[in-house]
Formats: sequence, C-alpha cells, structure tokens
Amino acid sequence: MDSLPGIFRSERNQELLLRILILALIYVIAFSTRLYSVLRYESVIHEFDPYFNFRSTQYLVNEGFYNFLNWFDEGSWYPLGRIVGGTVYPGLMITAAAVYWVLNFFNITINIRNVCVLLAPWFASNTAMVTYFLAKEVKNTGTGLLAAALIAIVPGYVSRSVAGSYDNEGIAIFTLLLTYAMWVKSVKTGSLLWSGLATLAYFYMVSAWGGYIFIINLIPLYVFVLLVSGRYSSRLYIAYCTFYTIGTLLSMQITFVGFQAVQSSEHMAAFGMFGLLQIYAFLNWVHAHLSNESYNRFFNVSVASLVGFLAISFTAATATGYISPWTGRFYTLLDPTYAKENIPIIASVSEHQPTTWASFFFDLHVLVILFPAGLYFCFKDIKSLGDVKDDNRTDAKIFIICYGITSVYFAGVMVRLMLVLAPITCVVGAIAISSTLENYMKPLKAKKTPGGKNAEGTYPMQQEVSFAVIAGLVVILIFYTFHCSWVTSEAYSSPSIVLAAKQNDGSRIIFDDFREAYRWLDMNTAPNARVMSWWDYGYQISAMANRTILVDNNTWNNSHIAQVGKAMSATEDNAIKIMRSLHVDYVLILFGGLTGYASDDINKFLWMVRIAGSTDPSIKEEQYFTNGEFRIDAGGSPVMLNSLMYKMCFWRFGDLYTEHNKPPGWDRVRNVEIGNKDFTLEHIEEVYTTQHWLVRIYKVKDVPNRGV
Amino acid sequence: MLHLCDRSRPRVPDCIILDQPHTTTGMRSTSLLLGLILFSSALIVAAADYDTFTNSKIKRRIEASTATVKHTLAIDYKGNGNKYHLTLLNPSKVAYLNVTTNLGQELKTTYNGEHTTNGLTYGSYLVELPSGDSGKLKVIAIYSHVLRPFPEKIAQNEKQLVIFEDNHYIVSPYETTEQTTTIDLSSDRIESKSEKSPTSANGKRITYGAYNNIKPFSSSPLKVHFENNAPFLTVKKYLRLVEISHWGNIAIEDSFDITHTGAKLKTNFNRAEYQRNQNGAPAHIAKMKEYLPNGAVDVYYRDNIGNISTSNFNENAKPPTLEFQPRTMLFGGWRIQFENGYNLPSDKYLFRDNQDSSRYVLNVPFVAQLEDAVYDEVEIKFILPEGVKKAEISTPFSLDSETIGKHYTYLDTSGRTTITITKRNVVADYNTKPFQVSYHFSRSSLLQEPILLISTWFSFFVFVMVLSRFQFRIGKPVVVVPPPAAKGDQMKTGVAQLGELMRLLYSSTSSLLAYPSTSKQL
Amino acid sequence: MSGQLYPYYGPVSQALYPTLTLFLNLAGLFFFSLFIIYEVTHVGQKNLFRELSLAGLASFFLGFGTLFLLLWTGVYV
Repeated sequence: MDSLPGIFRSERNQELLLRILILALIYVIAFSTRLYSVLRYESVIHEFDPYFNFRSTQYLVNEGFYNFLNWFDEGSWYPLGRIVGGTVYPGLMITAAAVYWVLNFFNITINIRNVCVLLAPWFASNTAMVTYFLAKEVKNTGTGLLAAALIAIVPGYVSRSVAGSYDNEGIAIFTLLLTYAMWVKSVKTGSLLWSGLATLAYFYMVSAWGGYIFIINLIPLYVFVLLVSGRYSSRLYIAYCTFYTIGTLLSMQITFVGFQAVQSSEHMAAFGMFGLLQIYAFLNWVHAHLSNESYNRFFNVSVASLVGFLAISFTAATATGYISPWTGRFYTLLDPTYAKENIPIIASVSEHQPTTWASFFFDLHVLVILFPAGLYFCFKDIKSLGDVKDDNRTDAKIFIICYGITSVYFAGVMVRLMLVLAPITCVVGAIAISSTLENYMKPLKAKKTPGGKNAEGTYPMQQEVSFAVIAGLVVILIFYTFHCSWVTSEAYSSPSIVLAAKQNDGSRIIFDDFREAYRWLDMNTAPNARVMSWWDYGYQISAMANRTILVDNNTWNNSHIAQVGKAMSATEDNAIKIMRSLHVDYVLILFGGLTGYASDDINKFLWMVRIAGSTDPSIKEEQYFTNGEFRIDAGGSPVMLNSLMYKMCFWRFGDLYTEHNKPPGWDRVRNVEIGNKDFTLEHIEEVYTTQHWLVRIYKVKDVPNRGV
Repeated sequence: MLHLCDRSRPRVPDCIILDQPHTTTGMRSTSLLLGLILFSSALIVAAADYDTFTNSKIKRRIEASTATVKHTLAIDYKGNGNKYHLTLLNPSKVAYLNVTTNLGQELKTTYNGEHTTNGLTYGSYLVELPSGDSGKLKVIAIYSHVLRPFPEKIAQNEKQLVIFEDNHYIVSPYETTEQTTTIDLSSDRIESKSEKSPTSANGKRITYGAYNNIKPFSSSPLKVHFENNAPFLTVKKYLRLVEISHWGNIAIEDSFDITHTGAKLKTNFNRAEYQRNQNGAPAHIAKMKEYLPNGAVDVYYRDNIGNISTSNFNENAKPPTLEFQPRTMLFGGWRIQFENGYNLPSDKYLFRDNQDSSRYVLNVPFVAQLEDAVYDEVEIKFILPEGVKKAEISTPFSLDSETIGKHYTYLDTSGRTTITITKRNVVADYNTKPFQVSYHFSRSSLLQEPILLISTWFSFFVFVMVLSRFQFRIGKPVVVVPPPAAKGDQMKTGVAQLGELMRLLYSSTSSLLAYPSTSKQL
Repeated sequence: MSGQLYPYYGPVSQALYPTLTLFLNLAGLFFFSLFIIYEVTHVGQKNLFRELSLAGLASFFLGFGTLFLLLWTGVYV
C-alpha cells in the first residue's frame, strides 16, 4: 500500500474510485448479460408485440412525429382499421426514434432495427444506476451498490428486457424506478426541484406503459400510510401536491390516457388523497390557531359534513357513469376469477395466469428469502419524525415497505407482474444483506481482547461466527449469480421467431419457417392482399410480410376476433361465406404436427371456439369434444373433423410418414393418427407450405364465373 | 504490379485496357449517338462509314444450354480497310459483346444504332480492325431473355420447354461465301426445330449448314423448341455498395431482387409432392452459388427481416464459393430479395500510383459472380474515403449514367464522395473487362478520424471542468473550504507520481521474473 | 497517364488491432481516473495546467483507443 502514489492512498479517493469502478462494471454487466440471443442467433426482434412496436417506430422515423401521433393504420383490423396514435403508449417508440436521430445526427449510422433491439439492455443498465440512487437514499452507498448489482442480473427483470425484446416493459421499469427514486428524494428533502423531476419522470412513465396505474395508486397509498402513522410534514405536502397536480396534467397529454386521468376509477384514489391531504393540512393549520376544545368541535363538524358531501358526490358520479368503473384488465388484479368467467381473451393470455411458487424462485432466487429479512430491517431502522441523524430516511423506508408489500400481492395474481416485484426485492434484499454485513463486520475489525475476555454485549467466538456468516452470505450471492446467468442463458434468450433444436449428432438445426412464410407472402402476393390468421400472428404478419390483416395482438375488438374464430371452426361451406364477406384473400395457419411444435393452431383451437362462442351462442365448445375429450383421431367429433381449421392443418398430411413404425398421418404433437384423411378443399387451395410444415398458407378461390 | 496497356505496342499480358477517362459530370452514354444517325430501311448503310469486305467463312456456334444464349462467331473476312460492319439480331437483348482477333487482341467496337433491312431488325456495330487485307474475327455475344418458355405454365414436376428464335443465315451486310451454324442445347429432347437443308441433329447438337454464297441480309427464320431446365435466374434490380477504407479494407454489399423468369406453375405448389422427390421438380431454383473475389472474409447473407442461415461459405476453394439457399425456393414467376456482403483486403484491390503519390486506383469486379444470373438493372455505388478529390471512373464499356454524390457514415464531418453508375442488361462476363475507379487522397486525411475522436473526448473533459467550477443552486453560494490535507494526500508533481508508478511496475515485474529462480532453488 | 501501380496496405496491420485497443484504452482510462480524482478532491483551488494536461493525455489515448476499437469490431471508418 505504501508504494502506491500519494493520490491513491487516501481512503476517500479509494472509496470514490472503487464506487465508480463498481458502477461501471455493473453498467457493462447489465448490458452484456442480455446479449445471449444476439450472439447465438442474430440481432432480430423477438416475440409478437415487439414487432408492432418496431413497425410503429419505423413509421415514426420515416413519416415524422405528427404523422405518427395522427396515424390511422388501414393495414390492420380490416375493414375497421386501427387508430394507432390514440391507442398506443408512445414512449417506447419516441425513445427509440430519439436515440436513432441523435446517433444519426452525429453520423453514427446505426440502423433502426439495431437501435430497437439494443434499447432494452441499455435501459437495463440505466435502471441499475437509478436503483443505486434509490437504495442510496434509503440507506447508504453500500446498499446502493448492492441493489444495483442485484438488479443488473435478476431474472424477473431480464426476462422482459433481453436484447430483441423491444417491448414497453423494457423502458417502463427504468421510468418506474426513476419516478420512485425522484419521489423518495423529494419526500426526503421537500424540495420543489426534486418534486418537479419526479413529475417529469412520472410523465415519462405514463407515456411508456399502462402500468403507471401502479404508481398513481401506490403513492397516494403511501401518503395515506404516512398520514395515519403521524408522519405528516410539510415535505410530504410539497412533494405530493406538486406530483399530483402537474403529474395528472402531464399524463393527460398522452392521447391514450386523455381524460381517463380524471374520470376513471383507477385514478380516483390519487384524487381522493389529494383532497384528504388538503383537508389534513388545513386542519393542522387551524389547530395551530385555536384552543384544543374549539378545535375539537370544529374538527367534528367539518369532517362529518365533508365526508357526507364526498360520499354523495362520488356515488352519484359512479352511478351516472361519469366516473368509469375499473376496466377488466385492472379489475382482474383485485378479483382474479373475474376474467376467467367473463372475458376469455384476457384469460387466454398465458402471461395473465396466476404465479406459481416455482416462478417466484425461478425469477428471484435468494431474494425470495432476503425480502422478509429486508422488510424486518426497514421496520427496525424506523426513527421518529424529526430525528436529525436520520436525515429523513425513515420516510423512504416506509415507502419501500409499502411498495414491497403491494407488489408482492400483485405478483401473486399475474405472472406478468413479477416484473414489478423484481426491482423492489433487489432493493429490500440489498438492505438485508447490507445490514447483516454491517453488523458482522464490526466484530471482525475489533481487536481481540487479551486473555479471551469478552467485552460487554458480545458472545464467545465472535470473530469466528462473524467470519462464518459473512462467508455464507458471499456463497449465497455467488449462487445467485450462477442461477441468474443460467436462467438468462437457458430460459429467457430465445428469439421465438427462430426455433432451434439439437439433432442426434449434436448439431443444431434451425427452423426458420415463420420468416420463410412471411417472406413468401411479401414477395409473391399482391400488395393489397388481405390475410386471415389467428390474432397471435397479426403483428408479425403486418411487420414482416407487410400485408393487411384482419385481427392482431391488440385484441381491441372482441367480436371481430370472434368472426375469425367462427370462420376457423365452421365447415368449409360456412366459413367461405364469412371469408368472402371480410374480403379475405389468404389464410395463414400454424401446424406443428410434423415437427412436434406444440404451440400450433390446433392446440389453440379451443380458445378460438370459446371466443367465437362468446358472441355466437350457437357455437358450443361441447360439439368439438367426444365424451369430454378433445380428439382429432378417428374418434374425434365430426364437427371437429370437418372444421376449416382441421382441414387446413391436415391437408395432404394423411399420406406423410412422420415417424418410424407409425401409420401415415401421425400427428407428433397430439401423438395420434389423424381421423379424417381423404377430404377435398372446394373453396380454398394451398399455395405454400414451409419446409417443416410449420406454416401453411391457403388462398381463397375466386367465385366461379358461371353459376352452379 | 498492374500496368496499363499501350495501344501502340503489342498486347502485354496482365495489362489493363482503359477507355478514355470519363469526365465526372454529365452523361457519357453512347446512347446519345442513337438519335443522331438515321438510315432508310431499304438501303445498305452508307458506305462512307464502313469499308467493304467479304466474309469468306463464318462459323457460328450458339450455346443455348443455360438461360442466356451465347453466340460465338468466327469470321474470316477479306477486304481492304479497317472499319468492319458487324450486325447482330435483337440488339436490345445483347447483354455482352466482345470482339477480338483470333489471336486475342481486343478490338474497339462502337454501337451505331438499330436498323431494319429486309424484315430483319439488327444492331450495327463498327469494329476497328488492325490493318491488313484479311484476317479473322472472333465475336462473342451473350443474349439475355431470348429463350421464351413455352408452354408458359407447367406443372410442378414437369420439365420446362423453351423456344429459341433466330435466323438460319448469319445476318451480315457483306456477302458470305460459306457459313455454318451449330446450336448446342441442354438436353437431347427437341420438340421441334425449323428445317433448312442441310440440317442435322445429333443428340444435343443441331447443325445448320454449310450454306454457300449467301447474300447480305438474307432472312430465314429459325425456331427450335427444346427442353431447358437451367435456372432462369433474373436479377431485376441489383445494387452494389463498395466502401473503401484507407485503414486497409474494402467492404462490398450486394443487394439482389431475383425473379424466376421461366415457366410459371400451372397448379399450386404442393409441399408434399416436392418433399417426396426434390429432383422431380426440375425447373425450379432452390440453390444458388456465388463466386467471391479472392480474399473475401466476413461473409454475411441476410434479407431485411433477418439473417438467413442456409448458406455455406467455402473460403479455401479457388475462387472462394458461397453456396446458399434462398428463404423460399423459386418457381416460375416467384420472387425473392436478399443481401450479401463481405470484406476484401485492400492490398489485392486498391493500388497506389507511384508516379503521383496521392493517386489511388480501385480494381474490383463489376458485378457479383452469381452463377446463371442475368442482371436487368445494375446500380453500383462507390463510397470513397472522406477527403477525396478528383474522383473518376473509367470503364471499357458504356454506362447508362454516372453521378457524384455524398454519403455520411461513422466519423464523417464533410461527407464521403460517392460515384454511382447504372447500367442495364448485364451478365457476369463483364467481370472479364476490368474497369477502374481512381481518386486523389492525401495520407494525412486519414488522421482526421482519430483527431475527431480525440477532440470529442477532450470536449467532454472540458465540459466536466466547466461543470465543476459552477454551482447550480438558488440562494447563497456555498463557500468551499478545502479539507485539511490528510497525511499521505500530498499531490506530488505529475512527473514524480509517474516515476513512483514506474517504480511500482518495475518492482512488481522484477519480483515476477525472480519467482521461477527461487522455485528452482527449492 | 499513370505509372506503375503498387498494392496499398493499410497503415496498421489487422493483427495489431486487439493489442492496440486494449493498451490504448487502458492508458486512457488510467489518465481518466487521475483526472476524475483531481476534480473531486481539489474543490477549492485548481491548477488549470494540470487539469488540461491530464485531460489532454486522457483524450489522446482514449481517442486512439476508440478508433482501434471501432476498427477491431469491423466498423472500418
């Protein structure tokens, strides 16, 4: 140590350098760990929703900002069209376009696809920095660094922000944590500057994701908790008033939110809290000017009348519909059984299913255990209001407690909301680890008293115990790192547009059938051709094949989707009427029977029937079952074996030998031999099937020239 | 070392033939000449332009085994003069024309427009002969899109039949004493052929001739209907980007828009039948092969929705070969679009002039050597480094257009000069006719890039310095009292600190080096 | 019109790119950290010459380091 140059010797400089070095490493790690799929496959957009976001970003970059805000897309939901400008959260597209414009201004000509693919990892690095800031405000720098390191690799967050996953959550978590960090700082300092920054961060969050509802309900809840626990202060008043007023005004600038910010039930809690805060502040002020007796009388009278007035007006507003009730998606969070019975589309999305215990551990690993411990430390460190040494960190800790508990509940309702839980478990886990390390580092540094005599308040073998505990913590953290890397590599890095499998000799075989089919559509069909497919593939067909589609993943019109479902599940003669009325030129389906791909349209068929049945009562799910079982072999119900979907999937499949020792027409997903092999198609004809029969495209035949 | 051929001396191997360098502005298209000279249809071309010859013997060999038809004419001429009038049918479909003496010396050929005589529409070419009474000419003409698929629609597993139409007699403005035509087909299945005695068919070869004493512009239509399953690969639009970096690299990116111009499918595509017998669909295109220039590395193959994995690059073959399959196979009328790119080392393709030390010359192939490809529209853009002056291009063949522009990419301030050239109806044989792009570039312009980076970093540091000197708060400025210098916190002079660092490095290195010797003692 | 033509080799051979990138960037980062420490510790009085020299050295090494990083990764500027 003594041979180091003078400037490196001071502890303060060492600590500063170490901090900068650690943060820089965390930044690089958070970005690099999300690059598995780019290195293994290519830089391409994954999944379904990101393709719509990518297409919108391309439109924004090519057409300009105002054309994007006013965009009416005739290429989707034919013949209805979709008002994209008003039904999309533009934050993601605007961020990507801004990055692209800034880079190209400096002649760094990175193309827009690469910007979109790598935007989420870059924002993940920024999230780690913001988490450091947040945890530093709650406890201390060590906690901050630990929280940043944990969130850089936590699988719950990596799953939605991997390179190629160009979705709202990629930047939404950054903006969520930024809002919370600014909010915590503004409550800590009571400064208008930080409150303003919190409001701007909230505006960014509203533009990025529909989950901003969480912020606008958590912060009022937190204010309420502080009021109830007697921790009202002028800092809180300044922070919340600035946040609510300017925040609501800003959130109304987003067309998709619009007047919902003041009219829908989901925002009423914030409004109520705002009012309550004013009343509380007013009463406090009055209390300072009156004697106790008169104040009590004043209090009783005013509160009673006010509560009565508010109750009447709120009930009237909800009853007349001026304040809209909770929408289905958010109501499901409060009543998880609601969607399953009433809205099959929401229930059918796999991300909306309740979370299993295995998912919790898979996505959080050791943080599941550290979370309660961290909450305990938060409670333990609570100091009273006005404690100078505390520097107002107690208010921040109460916020962490509120955020933690509410997000645990929501994560239990819906798998998708694990994403919201992941950051707070990192912060709370960091608090737990940091507090433990602090407690056990002290004995390690203390000198051993001669003769083994223990000082007061210690226990025998203190240094050895401390050493063991710290070693155990380090081992746990190492296991955490291994788990996170393994999960990222194995589970969350598949592009899903390209499938890969290992052959018997270990070599990798790539199934690029989806893009093959989309390319065929793009190159060999008329530019204004209309394609009918199930809504899962709508965004991809729009973005890659550049054709007009009937229904897509936005699922905003249930009855239109039901029409498509009806056509898919009806006989060919009935389906052709629906298809002709919708001007369909091509039909695209997914079929996994040859390769064993399990997410094909036959497996989704029952959802098609259910959704069709939700608008047309004559379609009953039971008609497609035999004895309560869904079968496609010889024992399948005739309605099933004659449906359009069945015929399109298994056309000419009956002559194929797919496996040894199995009859021709053996479906490798359902593991049966198909029931109906010799049938003819009258009104549609096959135009293309991809190499592994994964995607099949059919053309609707023209009406014959002469009458029958 | 490459050097330029001197026309006054006999041809030296490995020399580059240059046409006059084009000026960098304006159109240098010989199509300007088209509007100038008009001939009446009944008269033979004015004698003032051409000299009179007689063809003592012409042997024509037509190879129709691929999608392009190659005519090789061996002409023995007799006469005085050095302006030979060469005529070829269907001049708009001539993709490549090369006229040499039979010893291989290239002769300058100028296109003089399209004329009609005796019902024959032909193109007139002026060939400048070396002086002498008689001699031999060898003409190679490659036609594109002259094979017409008939029937126009075939089933998936049917073979493709095409019709080839020409003239039994070789079109010439001079009298021909003896002429023979042989046609080499791709298979021995001939549906029908026109007869003009003597005609003989032998397997894949049809012979028409020998015909004696043929008058100029004799017309006799020839028609052969035969089987041809060669890939009818037409690149409707081809775009090539050649980016030169003076750090030692040339990056080439080719963009192809390919259509199968053979017979279309009568019924729809049937995957089951296709998979049962892949060789049973003879007229479709499933594989393509491209020969890359020597030294090509970092090959990529993708289209605008992502990378295409079905490719195989054999870099040890001579020339390096890229075998790839398009995303979807091509049947008649089907279309596919993709991009292909690679890096070339500059020492094989970029040369500097030792007379003029700031002049550089680029020598790359004209179009991609894609097997069996016919390019309908070719556009090539050369992106030269920043700071280039006097960019020029000179080609031995005519170009449709030539423009100078600017391109902006990494670390550019004033933009890179670009030369864009276009040409229609090209085949890969053009790569045998080298062309040159030359420009002036000073070596110190190469330093512009690091200096730009250094100044960017320096401005960042200056920004930090400025920030640390200001206080951004409302209210009274904070007076900073420097903390008391802690022990050991002395800022020694920079030199002394570097010295300490050097000592540290030296001591650690010497202890590392000393370690093995101590272990030996043990 | 033109003389003999010689092949053009780039000024730095491709095999040197990785080593040059690493060493230049490390040297740049070293001076960068010296600069940051100077900025953070000397909040009262500052020696402008010292600051500028540190910034100059850092930006020189980092500039060349970035250039060779770009060349190494295949962006031939």
